[in-house]
Amino acid sequence: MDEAAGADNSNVVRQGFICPFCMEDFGEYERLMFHVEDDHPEEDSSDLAGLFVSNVKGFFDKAKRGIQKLDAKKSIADIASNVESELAETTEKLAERGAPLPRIPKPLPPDEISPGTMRSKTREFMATRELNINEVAVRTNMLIIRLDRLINGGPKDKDPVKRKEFEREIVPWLDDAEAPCCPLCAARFGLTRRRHHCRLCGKVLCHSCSEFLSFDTARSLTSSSNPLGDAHIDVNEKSQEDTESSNNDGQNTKRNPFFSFQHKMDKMKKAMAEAVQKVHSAAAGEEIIAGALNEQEMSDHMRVCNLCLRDLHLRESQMEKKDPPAYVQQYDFMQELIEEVKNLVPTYVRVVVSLKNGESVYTHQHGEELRSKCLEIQKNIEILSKRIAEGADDKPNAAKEQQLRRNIRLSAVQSLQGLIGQMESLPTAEECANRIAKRKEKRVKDFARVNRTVMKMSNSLPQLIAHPNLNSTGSVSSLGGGPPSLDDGWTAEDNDLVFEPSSIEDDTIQTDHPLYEQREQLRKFLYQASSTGKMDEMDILERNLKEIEEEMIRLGLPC
Amino acid sequence: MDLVQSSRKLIQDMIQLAGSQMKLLLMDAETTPTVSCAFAQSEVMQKEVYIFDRIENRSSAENIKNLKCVVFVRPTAENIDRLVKELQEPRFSQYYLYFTNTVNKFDVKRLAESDKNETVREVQELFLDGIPLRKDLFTLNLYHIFNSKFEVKDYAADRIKSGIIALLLQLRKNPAVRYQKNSPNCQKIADEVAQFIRRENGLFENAKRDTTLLVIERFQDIATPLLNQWTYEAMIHEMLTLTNNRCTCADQSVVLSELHDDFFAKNITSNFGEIGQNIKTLISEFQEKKHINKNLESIQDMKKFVEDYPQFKKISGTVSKHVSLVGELSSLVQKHNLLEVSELEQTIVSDGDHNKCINKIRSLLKNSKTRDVDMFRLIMLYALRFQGSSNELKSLLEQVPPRLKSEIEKTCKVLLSYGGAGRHPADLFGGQSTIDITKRFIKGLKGVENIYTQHSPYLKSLVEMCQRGRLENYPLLSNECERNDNIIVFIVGGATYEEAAFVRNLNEKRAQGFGGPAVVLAGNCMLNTKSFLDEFSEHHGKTTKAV
Repeated sequence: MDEAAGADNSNVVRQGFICPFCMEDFGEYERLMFHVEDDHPEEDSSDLAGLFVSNVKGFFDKAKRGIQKLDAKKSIADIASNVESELAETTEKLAERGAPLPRIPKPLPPDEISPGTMRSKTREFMATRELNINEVAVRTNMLIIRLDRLINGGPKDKDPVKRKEFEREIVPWLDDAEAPCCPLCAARFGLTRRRHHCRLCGKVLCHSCSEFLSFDTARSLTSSSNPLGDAHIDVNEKSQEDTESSNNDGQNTKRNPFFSFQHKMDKMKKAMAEAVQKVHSAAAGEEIIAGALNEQEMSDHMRVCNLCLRDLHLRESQMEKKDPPAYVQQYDFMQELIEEVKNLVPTYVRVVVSLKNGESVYTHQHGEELRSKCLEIQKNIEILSKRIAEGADDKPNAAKEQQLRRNIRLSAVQSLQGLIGQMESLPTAEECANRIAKRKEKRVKDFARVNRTVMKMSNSLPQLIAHPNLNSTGSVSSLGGGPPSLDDGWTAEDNDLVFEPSSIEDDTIQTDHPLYEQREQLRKFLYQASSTGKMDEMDILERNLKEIEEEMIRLGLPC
Repeated sequence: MDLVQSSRKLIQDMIQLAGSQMKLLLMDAETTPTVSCAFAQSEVMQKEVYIFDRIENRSSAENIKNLKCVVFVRPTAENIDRLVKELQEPRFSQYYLYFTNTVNKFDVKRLAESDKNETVREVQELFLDGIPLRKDLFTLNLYHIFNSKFEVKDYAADRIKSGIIALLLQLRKNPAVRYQKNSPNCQKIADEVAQFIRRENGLFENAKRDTTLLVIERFQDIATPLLNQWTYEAMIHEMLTLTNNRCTCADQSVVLSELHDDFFAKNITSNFGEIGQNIKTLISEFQEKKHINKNLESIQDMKKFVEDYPQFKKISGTVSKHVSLVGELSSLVQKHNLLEVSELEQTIVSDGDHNKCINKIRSLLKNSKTRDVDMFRLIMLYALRFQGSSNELKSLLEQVPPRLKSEIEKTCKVLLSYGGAGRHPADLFGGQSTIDITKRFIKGLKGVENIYTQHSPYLKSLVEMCQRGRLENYPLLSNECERNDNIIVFIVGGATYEEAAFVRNLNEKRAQGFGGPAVVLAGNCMLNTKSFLDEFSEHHGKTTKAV
């Protein structure tokens, strides 16, 4: 007795007078009884029950899997009493089913990722800065005006006393008595620490808090900076308002003093820029400040405090516009290349996948071209980044720049690794051709099969075809739609009509079908799109191309 | 409420706002781990950030005019001073200033006034004032926060307050603020947070009102940080000490990041046994790969293999890392008899038969394998568990090796005065109410699944209470929230990885659709037993006199 076999059989619903031991059908009650008595004489009733248990078990296995029938339960329980425990269990399970179903947990959708709250303080910052910058600009302008007067005017002979008088005339000096100590370093003045006056602001300072501004640099600054146009001689700088009004005679200063001032500043900035450029071209980047006293004649420089100096420096640096160093240009170029190849590689991968699928959307040659283009760019990136990194060795003192160069290289290598990792190998031209052929074969077969089923469907629905009205409306809807589906089964007739003759017809007649032209055009566009890595355009074009091919197969056109 | 992803987005946005060109990221001591927990350095470099610098050490005056400088710092007075100096003599062409919290008007003004070169392009307040360790775990890395009276020191209270505020703003929550009733520390901090929310209501305009913020203090449950741990992450922290997701294993620095290590992400809360199994499968997978390696005969095969290379390398990297980690852990477990120690710990905190416990403690104290820290643990747990009842702490202390005796005694006193019965902490060991007794009875009948992980932290009860709305002992300081979908728990005094594992499992269940609130756990630091005992090391001198 094979219990397993019995259990298996029980899965198939069988009816009639079946022997429970050997599962044979005897057709009549008497024949079955005889058979049992003859062939299975030794079995007693308990064993019979045992066999039933196994059968019932099989049944219950099934029941657990989803049968909701409860009817069979009772009769079975009567037959096999020792199944009761199991039955109870099953009923319990079934009863549980009957109860409101437990909510099947559905995974929560992932949270939306938000960077959290942000608050910009930029406007507040800029507003404060603008006010402040204007203040500084006003002050710097005043300094430059004074500078201009100091170096262009004054006594012709180099008498230091007269000179001093002249200077004090232009810039009122602070009284010595009012400055017991240096305002910058707070050191007390005395015999060893002498008082000095800044020629630009008139404040008292110690020697170490002031420096000398050479006339040459100052002159080259102011002569071309001549920011105030022809009016500079008339400058009267006792107060800022005076300068302002005197320099903007033509303008309506009273109504809009701020605007006019801004205007003047712009003018001045421009002039300053020129001046700075001149300085740079003449002295090749030399400092505008000459600090050494003993190297120059007394009249060739003037003492300026560090504060005024800082403002002048600032103005200079603002207008400083050097060309970026070579490595920055290399870097920018490299970054462009990386962007380009980052777009191209996914395109290439797409082409490869399409080729591997045996689609005829792209040609093998196109894949080859893309591949070599990617590799070429990657090689260039490699070379550029290497060059940037090598430059680091030339700058032993610039630790930051070294680090920068090395990290650029590191990151470029990482990008390359990622990109090369993405690039799948291209199948050979032969392989491609094979795959295309295979796919075409398969698709034609598929299509024929669909057609056949559709035909069957239409045959099984003769009453539909019999109605000409229905048929016509059906065809109309199918014209707009894509491939035939089971829903509009009656379109099959149309398809058949087209399909059958076309397969017989000669190929040459079909090649001038407008679809070919369309396809060629699409291919051309697709080629352009993929060469420039425009993925979204590729999406649309690919879809269109596939639709056309579909249509061609549908029409039975050889492609 | 995914802290790590949100932080990544935030940092990414911040860098992106600076535009293309090469950049430098200027951080401070506290924001550096914030960034490093959210991003790998190479990832940030892909965003054209090539140099990482610290604002504290402005050693070189070297200026690289072609670099844009992205500043990401806390708005502390020192940092503002440093920035003022930096802007006065700018080293870089452009500055983008991002602060991790609110900046006051005065500081903005100072910065604006110092920016005479007009190099600053952007000034923003972002809210990310702490370290997002995991998607639901947040820390401030702030240690030794208590003074001798167990009050939170002023600067620490301030830091905790800003941490909580930034956390709320990052998650865009306007919560119901609650605090632990018997903790003045919590009350003070929670009150300041509530005040801030009222004052700066503009910032909370888009915040949701579906969250409860619970500010609680460690003394409520000081047993949890005293236990040996058996889930992966907690175990690593207990034995090797995790700092900002990094630990040192066999003289090598190991980064344990959920983001870049799938194995770790899957096994953070697995127990030690499961990890062993999982490592085994990982190795066999790896060996299978290696097997393929041997079969590489044709050039075609080789090419294919190289194409698979990045993945291959990644897998081998994770394997070796976790193999050495688990190896180290298991050798420590064996060397120090930790299974036995842990079993006893669990018995003390859950079963609690006095005679059984004390005998075992005595035998373990005699065992030469037992580590010092484990002696500390056992005696502390004993003292805590059997406080008040006829206890033999004194006789136990006699058995401690003499070099440790005075220290253990002192620490014990400090701990008991911090979290002992006198402070009315939570009922850690099961109360005497009928429900509790029934619960324990049922638990006893069911048997224990794993004797080493019987203990569940008090946080579990707290979350349950919160779900049921039974928060009588956690008074409200603001408006009640509209819904209670989320709970943010801040533990003043430090959180543990056992609690983190509990929270993580809870959130995973929720993600699978089983309901329940989402929980974020935050603390001023991540404790293990060592750091927890260390937290009170300053107190020894004074408090012993007081007690």
